Amino acid sequence: MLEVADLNAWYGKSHVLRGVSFAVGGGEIVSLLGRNGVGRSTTVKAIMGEVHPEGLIRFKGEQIAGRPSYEIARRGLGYVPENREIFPTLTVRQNLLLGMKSTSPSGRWSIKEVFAMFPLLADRAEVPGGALSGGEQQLLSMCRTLMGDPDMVLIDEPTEGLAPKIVEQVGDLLREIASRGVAILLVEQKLNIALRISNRLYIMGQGQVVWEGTPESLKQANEVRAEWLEV
Amino acid sequence: MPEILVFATLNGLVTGLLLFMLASGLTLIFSMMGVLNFAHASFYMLGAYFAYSISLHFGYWTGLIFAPVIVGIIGALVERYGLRRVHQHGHVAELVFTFGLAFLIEEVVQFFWGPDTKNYQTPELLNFPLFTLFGQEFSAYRGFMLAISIGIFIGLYQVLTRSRVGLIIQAAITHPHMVANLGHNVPLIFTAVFGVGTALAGLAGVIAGPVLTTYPGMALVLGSIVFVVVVIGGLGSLPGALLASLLIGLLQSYAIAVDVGMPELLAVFGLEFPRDHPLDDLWTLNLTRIAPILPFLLLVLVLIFRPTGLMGKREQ
Repeated sequence: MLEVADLNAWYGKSHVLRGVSFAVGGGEIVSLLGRNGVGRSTTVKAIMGEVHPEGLIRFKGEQIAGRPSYEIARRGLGYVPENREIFPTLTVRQNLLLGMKSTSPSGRWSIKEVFAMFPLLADRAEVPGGALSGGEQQLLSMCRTLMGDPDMVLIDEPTEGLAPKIVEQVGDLLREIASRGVAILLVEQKLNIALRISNRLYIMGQGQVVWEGTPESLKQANEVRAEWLEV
Repeated sequence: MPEILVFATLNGLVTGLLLFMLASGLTLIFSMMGVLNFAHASFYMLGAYFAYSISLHFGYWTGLIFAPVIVGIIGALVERYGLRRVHQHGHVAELVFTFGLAFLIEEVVQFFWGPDTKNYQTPELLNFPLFTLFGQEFSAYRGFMLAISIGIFIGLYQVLTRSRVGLIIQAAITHPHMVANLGHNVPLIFTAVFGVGTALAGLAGVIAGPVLTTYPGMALVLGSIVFVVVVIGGLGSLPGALLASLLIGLLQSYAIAVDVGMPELLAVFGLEFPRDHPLDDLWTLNLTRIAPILPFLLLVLVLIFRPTGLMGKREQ
């Protein structure tokens, strides 16, 4: 589904991504782990074209590096950014409507279904997005991206700063997304969530992928966790 | 007194809504693209000149329709082939680009139309007093300006709040990257907003040209006030732009109409100064004379006490 090879990116003069390579298959949940500042978010932004990428980024067999963001999104790649980016002046319903790429509803998800899954969003359908709590905004941001019927979603730190109850709901939604055949690249810091839901994991350090494996193998690799993940 | 109040209010509304036609485009362009378009008022001037030239051959009404369209197309081309390329080099380059464009347009206008004031006239059809109150006339043309401005305001409001494109524009004001990430063609929307914004500025020029005179300095005069409006209203806020436009329009209009000043103020305290006093200019100062600087005074006060403007949101 997604293939990244020798991806480089710069912030000004600092070389943030130094040859990142990984791949995500169709319907797979893959996590990108690592400490703060190792380039996980930048990797995702480079894939979406928000940061200028150099290298190979192939989505569904086509090179998308350097294409404009809206074109990448239209090819079926969804993105849920770390800071959620809810449109604060628009209502919850309007936020969801803008997730759709055209006016006619189609694909795997509908507003009706989203409201059935999350009654707390249904209750606040006509409330401005800016008035929602952090957890509600996270769910809304994920659902908004799903309205565009992506074949794969990049989700950046969805559980950061959320109450345990909402973290559960986010986890449920991630599993629901995967169950419909949508591939997920999850950027996470919380090891337990990543271990619970991922098929495979990559660990990043200093702008590169330094380890890859399955949840089982990471559980056993104490020295890898100590060197690259634990604080 | 009541006649001063009625006419000053009406004239203030005419000026205020005219300012809003420019300020709305400027503030939308700024909040979506981060570009403070110094050339915005130049498009207003182009509107007036195009309409003047068209009116010479085909009459006022043809100019009213076609001049804003031509200005809008020029605006869209400037965004697509100028600003978008300059954008890659950062905001400072964009700022300098629009600054240069403003001078370029002024020179071009002088080159083709000359430095003199043009005899751009109100149409025959509207050369009559709309009503006479307390012996004073309110011209039909000013009523027409008011009607067009209100119509544009209602139209803009409807498009922005009711249509899908309006929702996308509203969303792009706060999070342009996210709108693109959801698959919307943001560059195209930028071009369209720039085109419509400059067309509105052009329309303002068409209807204001005959009243505020059509000459090469008109962009500079109105442009500085429009910037004041946008900053006072809060950069990026449409309701703020409306509020500030009306505020400045009415403020200037009342200041000119109400003839009070220092002599009256001093008289309250029983003070009077001889005419040959060295500070005579200060003691005889009246509101009408300081009317042109009131907007800038307000600008300074707002920046000191409320830097985000009346309705602006703090930048992240």
